[in-house]
Amino acid sequence: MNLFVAGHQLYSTLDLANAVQIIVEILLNFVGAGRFAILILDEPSGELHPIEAYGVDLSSVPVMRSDLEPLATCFRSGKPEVSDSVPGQWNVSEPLVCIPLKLGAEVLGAVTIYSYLEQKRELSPIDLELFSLLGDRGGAVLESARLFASSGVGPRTVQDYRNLLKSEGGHG
Amino acid sequence: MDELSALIVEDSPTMRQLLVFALSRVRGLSVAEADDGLDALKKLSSMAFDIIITDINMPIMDGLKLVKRVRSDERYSDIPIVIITTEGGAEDRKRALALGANAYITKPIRAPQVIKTVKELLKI
Repeated sequence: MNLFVAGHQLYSTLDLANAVQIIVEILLNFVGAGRFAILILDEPSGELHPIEAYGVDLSSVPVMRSDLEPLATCFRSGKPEVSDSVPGQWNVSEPLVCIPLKLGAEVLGAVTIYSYLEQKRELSPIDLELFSLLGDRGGAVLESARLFASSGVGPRTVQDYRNLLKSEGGHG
Repeated sequence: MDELSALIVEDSPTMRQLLVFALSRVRGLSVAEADDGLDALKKLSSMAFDIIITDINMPIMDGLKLVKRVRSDERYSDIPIVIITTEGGAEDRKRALALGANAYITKPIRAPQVIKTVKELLKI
């Protein structure tokens, strides 16, 4: 049920702030992450910059490189990387979980989790599935919202859809 | 079984949807939603509810104020209240229970846990 609701909510908006908020709520309420950040890849520099954080000051989350650990492995594999160890002290430079936010095979950003809520003792299979869901859909959701915001969209017309289908070689 | 009704008070649409889905699986239980404590009080004045499930941190009127208002109104004083808290809410939890909440659920939220708590309080 958590997976269904998470998936449903992720595709419920084209507003970037709402999309980010939904990712935050899934991590906090469904996974029980206590401290985490959402980072977006700046393609020219290859750096990931934090755009949102929970439980930790956004300004304290470091800019990271996609070709260096701790993010490099999850960027290469396109799959969430989950640390086995649960250190007593959390550290923004050593996330417990790195989730690549993907659009297809392309990685557009990452979620980094630094600690869990006090009562969260261990990760369950549902948590791992939620990580995969966020990874597989999160990038697409953020990119859709970014494109929508920058497109200057006016009233939707049927002709818009027909033009797009024709230009993409569909059944126009 | 007569129809019972639950009022979910939660400002997060994501959490609200999960709670609605979870409680909709309880046979004989209908579910209504409110965005915050004030909205909940409005709904309570127009419809009878058998249980209230409320978040604590909400805009306009938070869950603690809602518990206090509900318990101080004899029309609603017998309605069981479940509060939803995070780890930082230990003090809030104590306060809500002291004010008259009947049970609490901590995040992360799992549907079976919500269903079990509600069924126990409704004795169904």
